[in-house]
Amino acid sequence: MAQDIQFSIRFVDPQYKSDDVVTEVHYLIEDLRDLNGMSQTRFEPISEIRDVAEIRVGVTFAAPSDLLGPILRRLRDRLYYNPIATAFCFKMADIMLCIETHQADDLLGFIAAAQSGLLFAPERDYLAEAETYSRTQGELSPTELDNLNLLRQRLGLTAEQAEVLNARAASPYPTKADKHRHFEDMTAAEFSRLRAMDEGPPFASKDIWPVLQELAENLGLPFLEAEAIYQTHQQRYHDDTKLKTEQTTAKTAEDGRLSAEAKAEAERQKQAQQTQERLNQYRDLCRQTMTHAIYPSEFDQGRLDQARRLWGISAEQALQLETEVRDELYGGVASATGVDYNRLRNLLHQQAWHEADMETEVLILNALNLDMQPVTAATMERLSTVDLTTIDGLWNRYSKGRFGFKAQQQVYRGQQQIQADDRQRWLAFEEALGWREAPSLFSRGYKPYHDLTFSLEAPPGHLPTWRWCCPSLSDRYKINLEIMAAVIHHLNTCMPLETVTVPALDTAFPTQIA
Amino acid sequence: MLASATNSGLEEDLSELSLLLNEEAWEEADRLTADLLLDAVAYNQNAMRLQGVSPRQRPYLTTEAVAALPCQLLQAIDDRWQRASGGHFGFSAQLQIYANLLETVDFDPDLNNWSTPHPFFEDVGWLMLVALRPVGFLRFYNWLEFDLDAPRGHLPALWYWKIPRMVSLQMGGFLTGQGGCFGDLARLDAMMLRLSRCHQLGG
Repeated sequence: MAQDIQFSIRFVDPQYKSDDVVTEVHYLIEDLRDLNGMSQTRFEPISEIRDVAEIRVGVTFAAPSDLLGPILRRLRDRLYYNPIATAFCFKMADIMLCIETHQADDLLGFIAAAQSGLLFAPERDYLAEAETYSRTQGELSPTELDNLNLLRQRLGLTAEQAEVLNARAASPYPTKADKHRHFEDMTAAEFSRLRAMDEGPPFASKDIWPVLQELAENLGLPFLEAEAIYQTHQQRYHDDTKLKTEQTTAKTAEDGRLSAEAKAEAERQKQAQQTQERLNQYRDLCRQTMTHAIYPSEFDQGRLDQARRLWGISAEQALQLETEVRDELYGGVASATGVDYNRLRNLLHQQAWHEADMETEVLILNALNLDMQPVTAATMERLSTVDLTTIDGLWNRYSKGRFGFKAQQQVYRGQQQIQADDRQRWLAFEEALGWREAPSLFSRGYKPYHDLTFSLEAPPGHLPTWRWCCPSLSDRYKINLEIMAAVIHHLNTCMPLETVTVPALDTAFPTQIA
Repeated sequence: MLASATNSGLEEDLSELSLLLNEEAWEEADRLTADLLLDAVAYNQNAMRLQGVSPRQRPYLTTEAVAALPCQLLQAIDDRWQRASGGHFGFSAQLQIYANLLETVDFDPDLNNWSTPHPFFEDVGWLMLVALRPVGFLRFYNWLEFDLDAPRGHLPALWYWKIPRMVSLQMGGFLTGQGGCFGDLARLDAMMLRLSRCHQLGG
C-alpha cells in the first residue's frame, strides 16, 4: 500500500552559470527517467528568474514511496560525480523533509532510513502518535483511541495494522496498572540496593530519583504518580536508616565515651611525663650552671631564662627548682623562724670564717627574736632544731666536718672521759675547742674574741663561736658556764650524736665564775 | 622592749631629754640618760625576779645588764643626742670611734691598765690630763667637758661612770664611780656590742 512521495530537487549553487544549470536539470530528468518504474512519471520543471531570463533550476515530481530508495541512490551517485549544491525536499502526507548539500554522503542516512521502511512509513507516524498518547496518561483513553483511528485513516493504514501498532506503543506494560506495578517494583529494588550499600562503604552519590524519573518517563507513567511511589519508598527507607543510625550512634557514643576517657587519661599521663622531663632537664641545667658558683653568672642566668621560656616552666617553678638544686649543691637553708641563711651560706662558701661567725650570731639572735639580747640558759632552748641543724649543716659542709655544732658536741663527748669535777671539764672543753689557753700564773687563759683563729687551721669545733651568748667580746671571749651547759644540753637534745648518752646536768652546777 | 605600762613615762622622760639637749644642758641630759638606762635595767631585773632569778638590790650597768638593754631605748636616746649635737655626741658617735679602733688597732686587753689605756678613752677625751699627757685613769665625772668643744663621743658618759662603790675601789677609784679608775673594757665593749647588735635588729 504505497503512497506517493512528492520530490523537489533544485540546484542552488550560485557559481553555476544559467546554461549549465539548465543542462544539469535536463540530465537529472534523463537519469531519473531511466530508473525502473519512472518512465511514466511527469516531471515538472522549477523555474526562477536569473539574469533577466527565466530558467529551469530544478524539477519536481511524484513517485511511489517504494521507489524512494532507488531514487535516493541515483541522486547520491550524481552528487558523487558532480558535487553541486542542491536542495532536496521529500514530502509525504503532512511531512516534508528538506536537505541542502553538495556531498553525496549526506544522502546516505536517508537511504538507510528509506530501506528500513520507516522513513515516510505511515506505521511510524501512527506509532509515534500512539506512544505519545500512551505516555501522557499511561494508557489510551477512548478519545485518544478515536484520534488514533482518524490518523489511521489519514495515513491509510488498515485496522489490523493499527491494532498491532497500538499494542506496540503500550508494550511491554500496556495498562497503567502494569506500569504502576513495574515502577513500584523498580523503586523497591533501587531502595533495597541502597540499603545494601549502607552496609558497605558509603557511596558518593545515592540519588536514585533521576534514574527513576527517567524510567517513569520511559514507561509513560505520569510524573506525580511516580513521585508518590518514590516518596513512599523513600520515607520507609529514611525511617529505617534513622532507626539504624540511632542504634549505631548510641553504640558509637558509648564506645566513644570509653575510648575518650582512656585517651584523655593517656594524654594526661603523657603531658605529665613531658612536664616532668622538662623539669628534669631544667634541673640538670641548673646543676650545670651552679656547679662553680652558688649564683649562676649573668650568661648562665640568660641560658636558664631562655630554657625556662622554651620549656614553658613558670617563674615560680623555676625559682623553686633553682633553690632545690642550690640546696642540694650547697646545703639547705631551712628555717623555722623565717631567717634567711643565704648570706651565711655565701660567706661560708667563700671561706670567710670571721664574717660567717658574725653572721651566725645575727641569725641566731634574730631567730630567737628577743630584742637581740644575748642567749641565756633560759632562752637557749627556744632555738629550733631546724635552724640549729641548718647552721650546723652549712658550717660542717664548708669546713669538711671540722666546724659546726656537731663537731663541738664531739669534742664535748671526748671531754667526758676526763675524770674531774664539772668545772674542770668545762674549762677543758673550752681549751679543747681553742677558745681558751691553759691558765698560767699571770693569766686565766681567756683571750679576746678577735684573737680566735678564723681559719681551717683552728682546732676542731673552734667555730662557730658562741659569741651569741656573750655580753662582751673584745676584752675577752668568755662564756658563762651555766649558759655553756645549757647550750650543750640543747644541742644534744636537738641533734643527738650517735651512740652517745648525755649525762644529766648537775643541778648544783656553779652558776657564776668570779 | 619596754612594757607598754612604762611607755607613757618613757615618752615624758624622752621629751624632757630632748628639752635639756636643745637647751644644751649637757650635764643634766647626761644624768637623765643614765637614769633612763638604769630604769631599764631595774625593769629587766624585775622581770627576771618574776622568773625566779635572784635580783640585785640596786641596778647597775654591768656587762650583763648592758647586753640586755632595750634596743628601742638606746636608739631613742641616741637619736636625741645626735640631733641636738649634730652627730657630735651620742652612742652612735662612740660606736663609730670604737668600731673603727677595733678594726685598725690590735689592742691586747691584758694591757688595759693605767699606763696603756684603750685608745677609745683617749679619743673621746675621758682620760685625765696630767701635764698635758694622758694617763690611764679616767677623769672624775665633774672634770668632764659639758660643751660642744669636747672631743667627739665625749658624751653621754655617766652611764659608764656609775659603778658600784666596791667595784670603784677595786679599780683604784675613791668611791667616785669610774672617775680616777682605769677604764673597764668589758663594760665599754658590752655597750658597744649591744649597740652594734641593735643595728642588726631584724637583719
